[in-house]
Amino acid sequence: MAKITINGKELTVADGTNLVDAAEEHGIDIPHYCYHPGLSIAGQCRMCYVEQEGNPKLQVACNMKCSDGLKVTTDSARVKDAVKWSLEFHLVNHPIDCPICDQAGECGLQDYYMKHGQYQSEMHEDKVHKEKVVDLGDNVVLDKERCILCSRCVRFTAEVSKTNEFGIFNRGDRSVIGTVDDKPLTGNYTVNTVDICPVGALTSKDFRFEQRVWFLDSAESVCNGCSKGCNVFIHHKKGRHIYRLKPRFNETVNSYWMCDKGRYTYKDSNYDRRLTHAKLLGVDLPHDEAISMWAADLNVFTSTERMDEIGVYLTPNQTNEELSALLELFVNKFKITKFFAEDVEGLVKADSAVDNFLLRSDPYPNSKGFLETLKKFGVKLGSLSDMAQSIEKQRLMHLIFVVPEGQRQITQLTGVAEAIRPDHFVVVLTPNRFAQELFASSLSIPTLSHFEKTGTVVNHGGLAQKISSNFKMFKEAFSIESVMKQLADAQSSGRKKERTGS
Amino acid sequence: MRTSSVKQTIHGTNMRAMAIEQKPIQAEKRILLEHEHVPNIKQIDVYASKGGYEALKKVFQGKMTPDQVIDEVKASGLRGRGGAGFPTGNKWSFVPKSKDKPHYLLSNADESEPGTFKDRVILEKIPHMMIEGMIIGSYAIGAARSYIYIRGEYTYGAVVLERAIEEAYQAGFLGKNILGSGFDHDMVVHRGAGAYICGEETGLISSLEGKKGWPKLKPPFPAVEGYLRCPTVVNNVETLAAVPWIIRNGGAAYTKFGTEKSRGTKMWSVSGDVERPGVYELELGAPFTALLNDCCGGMKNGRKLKAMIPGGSSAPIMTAEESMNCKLDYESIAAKGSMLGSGGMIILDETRDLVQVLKNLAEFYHDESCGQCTPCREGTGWVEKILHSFTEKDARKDDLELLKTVTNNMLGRTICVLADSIAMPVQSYIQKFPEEFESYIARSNATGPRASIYSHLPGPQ
Repeated sequence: MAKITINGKELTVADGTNLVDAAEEHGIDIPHYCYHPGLSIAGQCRMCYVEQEGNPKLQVACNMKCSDGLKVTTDSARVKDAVKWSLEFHLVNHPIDCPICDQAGECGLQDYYMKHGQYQSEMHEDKVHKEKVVDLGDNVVLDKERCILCSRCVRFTAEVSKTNEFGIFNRGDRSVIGTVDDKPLTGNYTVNTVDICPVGALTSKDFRFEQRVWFLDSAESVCNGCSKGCNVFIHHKKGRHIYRLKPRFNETVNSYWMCDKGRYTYKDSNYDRRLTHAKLLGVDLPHDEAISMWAADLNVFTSTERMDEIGVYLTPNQTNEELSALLELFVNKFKITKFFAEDVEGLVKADSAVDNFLLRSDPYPNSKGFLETLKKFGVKLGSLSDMAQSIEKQRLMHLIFVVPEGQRQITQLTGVAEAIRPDHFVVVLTPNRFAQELFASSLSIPTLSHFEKTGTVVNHGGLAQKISSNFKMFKEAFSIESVMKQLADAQSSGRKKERTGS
Repeated sequence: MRTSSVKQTIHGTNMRAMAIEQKPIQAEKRILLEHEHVPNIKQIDVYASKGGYEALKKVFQGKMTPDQVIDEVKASGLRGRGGAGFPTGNKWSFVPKSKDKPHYLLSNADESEPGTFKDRVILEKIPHMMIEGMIIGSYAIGAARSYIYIRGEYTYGAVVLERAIEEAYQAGFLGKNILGSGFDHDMVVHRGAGAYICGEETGLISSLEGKKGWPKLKPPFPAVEGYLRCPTVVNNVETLAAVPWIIRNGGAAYTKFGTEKSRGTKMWSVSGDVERPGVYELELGAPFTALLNDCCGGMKNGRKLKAMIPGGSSAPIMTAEESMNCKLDYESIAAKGSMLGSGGMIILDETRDLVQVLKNLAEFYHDESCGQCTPCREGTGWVEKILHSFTEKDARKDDLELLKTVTNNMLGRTICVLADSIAMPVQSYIQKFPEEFESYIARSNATGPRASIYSHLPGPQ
C-alpha cells in the first residue's frame, strides 16, 4: 500500500495503481479521454493534468503510478485552466453537431464541457473538415470529423482484439482514424471500439438513431450467448424494449469487453420475438385459466399414477433457481422421472474458447449449474431422439417443454414436434413466440426472457454469477419460479375440489 | 540529374573551402572542421592521414575501459549539440550497466530544424569523424549496434555514409573484434521519410522501430527503455563528431575552449541576410559580431540588422540590440531569453516583415505537428489560421491577445516540444516586435473582436 496525497487529502491506495484510477476510487474525478484502464498508456489527450509537488511542469496523471509520498493537486486554478484549454483544443475542429449525434448524452466532450468548460469559444476560424459516415462493416460507422484522436480504438485493435485494423493516418490536425482503404472491421469484437470511443466518432450500426441515451434505464445481468458469462449492462427503455447490451467490468471474466455475437442476444427479448399471452391452440386465454387447465391435466396423470407418461424438456438457459423450482415440483412432488435435453455433458466437455478470447463453443450460459442442479435432484437426462421415439410410441402423453428465447432450440425441437399427435397434451413454458408456433396445438405459457431474470448462473470456469434484473417487459409473462408456484397452488386446489366433490 | 547536382555540391563547397584555406578567418576556431577543406577527406585513408581513427586506436590499444571513456567525455564538458545542450558524458552514464538487454546508440542525423545545416557538412564531407565518435560512444555504453537516422532529403549524405561505413568495415574499425579488443560493432544507415518530428529523440526511435514517428511519453526515458524497449542513447551528429578529438587530446584540452559552462566549439549554420552565409565553427562564448562581421562578411548590401534567431527557427527571436552585444554560448543566449539550440542562425535585415516570417514558421509547424497531443495538433493549426486571418483578412488587436493565450496553453503541455517550438516564436515576436504587428492593425480598418463561428448559438449560462 502507498500513502499518497491528492488535494491535501491523505489516501491509502495499492502501490503502483494508476493515479487516474486511484483518484476515481476515492471519488476524485480526473478528466481523461485517451486513458482506458484496459489499454496501454498513450498520454496524448492531455486532459488529466495534475500539479505534482516539486515539479514545475503540469504532469499527466495517466502516466503516474502511485507510490509513497506522491503529492498532487487536481483542483488548483492552474490545473483547472489547463483542463479547460485542453478541452477547447479538442473542440477547435470538432463539428459540435450534438443535436444529430448519436453519442449525445453519453459524450465525453459534453460531460467535460459542462464540468470543466463552460466558456465562450474564441475560435473564429474555419474548421478542418473530414469524412463523415464511413461504413466500417456490419457493426460500426465512423465519423472522422467528430473523432478526437484519442487512439483508444487503435490500441484496442492492436492490443486486445489483435486484429490491428485501426490506424491514424496523416499528421497534425489532418490526422484521421481509419482502416486501410476503409476496409470493414472483421472479427467478433468490433463493437467494443464503439464502447470505448469517448465521443460520437464510432457508433454502433445496431443502436444508431434507435434511441436517445438519456431515455435509457440500466440493469445488470450476465450475457446469454455462451458459457463465458460476460457481465453486461442492459439498456432498456422503461422495461418495454431493450436497446443494447454493454459490457460490465469484471476482472475475472470479461474485463471491459464482450463479443459482438453476445451483444445482439438482447434482440430475442424484444416484442417481435416474444410470447406475450398464454395461448391454447394459438388463441389467447387468461393466464390463470391456462395454469388451471395445465394443473387439471397433470392431475389426471398424478391421480392415476401415470407419472411415467410425463416428459419434460429442459435447457441450460435456466438459472439455478428456476431449475430448482421446476425440479422441486416435478421430481419431489409429481415424481416425474423422464427428463430430456440435448447432450449438455458433451457440450461442457468440448467447451473451448472459439477465437482465443471471450467467445466459447458451449452456447449455454448455465451448463455447469444445470448439470449440478440435476445431479442434486438425481435426475437422469434422456436424449432428444429418445424423446421423439417415446412420443411416437405414445409412451409419453403429457409433454412439458421449457424453451428459452433464441433460435437454437426451435431448430433442435423440430424433430420432436413432428412426432406429436393430437392426443398429446403439450405445455410450452417459453418467452419465445416461435416456440409457440412450433408446437401449434399446445398450451403455451409466457415466461421471462433471460435479461429479465433474477438468479444465479454458473459459467464455464465454475464461477457462480448473480444476475439481477429489475424490469419485466410483459404483464402476463412470469418467472418460472412463480409459474411453478401458481401451478402447485392450482393443482392442490383442483385436488381439493375433487375430494370435496364441489 | 542526381549525379550532376551532387557534383555541383562537391564542386561548390570545394571552391569555398579553397577560399577559406587561402585566407583563414581569425574569428573561427576549427576543431571539427579543421580538415574540412582537405580534398577527399571523406575517404578513410585521407581521414586517417589527418589523425583520423587515432582516438579509436587510443581507446582499444590503450585498453581504456568504457567508464574511462565516459569520464573523459564528462571531463570535457561536452554538451549535446542538437538543441537541448544536455551534458553528453552524463547521458552516456545513465545507461544501465547490466547487459540483459542489448544497448543501442543512435546518431540523430535528421537535421530538419529550419535554418540548421551544420550536420550536413559533417555527414557529407567528414563522415568518418562521426563514425569514429559513434564507435567510441557505442563502446562506452556497450552497444553492439548503432544506427544513423539520416533525414530522407539528405540523399547524398546517405550515400557518403554508406561508403564510409563500408570503408570502416574493411579497415577493421567495424565488425567483429575491433582492433583486437573483443568489442563487436555494427553500424546501419537508416533513411527517414521526411518528417520534422522524427528528429525528436523519441520520435526518431518510434520511426526507427517502423512505427509512425510519434514521440513517446516519458518516463521511461530512452536511456532505460528506448529503441525496441532497450537502453538507448540518441546523440546529435556534431556531438558524436566531437568525441574523437576529445579522446585524442583529452577532456581537459577541450575545456580550454569556450566558457565555464559551455565548453568547446560550436558549429553555426548562418543563413539569411548576410554576405557569406555558411557553416562556421567558433569557440563557445565568441561574440556575435565576430560571427556576423568576421565570418559572414557583415549584413548583405550593407543593410541594418533587424532581428536574429540564434538556434534554429524554434528559438525565440532576438532584437538587433540584444544580438549585437550577445556572446554565443548556452548561458549568454539564455540570459537574453532565447536559446542556442542547434546553432541554426537566421539573420533578418531591416527589410524583412516579421509577421510574414512568423506566418511562414506557423505554416511549417502546423504541417509538421505529428498530431499526437491535442494542444499541439489543434493549436498549431489554430495559430496558423489566426496569423493567416491577421495578414490576409483583417488584423485586430484581439488576435494578439488570443495568440498569446493559445500559445501559453501549448507551452510545456505536450509529450515533446514541438508545441513549444511554435509557441515560443509567437510569444517572442509579439513581445519583441510589437510595432510590426501594430502596423498591420493600423492598416486594417476592422474594429472589435472577430465574429465567433458560434455567434448564432446561445452562450453558456
